[in-house]
Amino acid sequence: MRLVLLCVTACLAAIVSMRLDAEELPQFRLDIRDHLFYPPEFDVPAGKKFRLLVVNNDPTPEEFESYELNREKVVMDGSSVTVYIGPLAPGQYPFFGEFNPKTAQGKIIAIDNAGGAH
Amino acid sequence: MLLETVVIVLREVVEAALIISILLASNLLFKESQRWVTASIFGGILMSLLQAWKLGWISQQFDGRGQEFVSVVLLMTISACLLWRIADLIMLPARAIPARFYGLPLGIAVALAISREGAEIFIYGYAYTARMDSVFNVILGCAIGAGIGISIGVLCYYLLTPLLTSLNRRWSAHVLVSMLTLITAGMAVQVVMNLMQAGVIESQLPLWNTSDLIAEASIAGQLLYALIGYEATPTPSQVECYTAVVVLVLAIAAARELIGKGSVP
Repeated sequence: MRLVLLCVTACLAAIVSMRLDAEELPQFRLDIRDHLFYPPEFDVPAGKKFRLLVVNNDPTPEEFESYELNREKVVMDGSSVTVYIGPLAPGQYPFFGEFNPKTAQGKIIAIDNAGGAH
Repeated sequence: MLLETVVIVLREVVEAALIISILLASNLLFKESQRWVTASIFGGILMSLLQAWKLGWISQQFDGRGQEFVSVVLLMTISACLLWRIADLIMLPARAIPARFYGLPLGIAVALAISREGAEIFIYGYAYTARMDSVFNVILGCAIGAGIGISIGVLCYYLLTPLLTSLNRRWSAHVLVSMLTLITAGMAVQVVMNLMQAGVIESQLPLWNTSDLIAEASIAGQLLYALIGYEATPTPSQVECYTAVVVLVLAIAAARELIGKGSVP
């Protein structure tokens, strides 16, 4: 019984913290157009969690992928997805579109004291 | 375009092919558990088609976390089936259950592994064959990529089976348990990754970085990823989950030693 109660509390806590996160987290936007990422490079604050909104403006699906960030998510044509990233150590984190790896390339640069949401 | 397609398809196929080949090799120690294999391969292909067809809708569910949650459910179900097979292997000499149940976890794991990797191929194939300039290249690329991936799986099976038959039953069970445990532990790492990507659990700074030694994007990195869940920059919680799976299997094995002592033939 105590275990069940503990699980329920943990779930509630997780949901509440998710809600809070959604409001407070800085968000960055990444657009896919003609199999290219815009902006191809952008700064994020190091040591902080943030949300990345990936908007696919192409008529074909794409997969946002990064080995350095350990993230991969399919973005259907004309659709958008949110990916939670960080906190990151200062440095460069390349990402690419798996379906168009030659053209769709970019990088996130995590720097200390970078500006807020774009 | 051709080479890109080969690489995309190969990456997905090889992962499923390696898991399936090791699971099929583990069938050597069970009688009559081959029966689900064909059905589960077709079932897996159907499920990946369904998943590819509905991915747009799936993505929008749970506040945009649908893809991650589907991945988590698939990974956890495959992990549970692998643990079931591991437990069967550990208990092998002592237990006598009807042979048809031995095939069940294998069938589910094979179907879900295919469905997980296959969906992306169908999404890619559908979208890019629609562009007239690339129909031939995409189809050829898919065929070559799938061919190489399946060949690697077949090669793995035919390297593994003589090794297993040359060992006695006990030792071949040990080899299989070790391989399946590392694959399962790797899936636990992916569960954590998906939950972090969905913002459900906190992401952390990685514990170490072995990218310079073996890059995840390299061929060695990809094979190790499929076989032992290699991650160049794992977070503390990923390392904890990996360890937890290994400890769990060791605990099952230890329990088997304690309980089953007198009953081993």
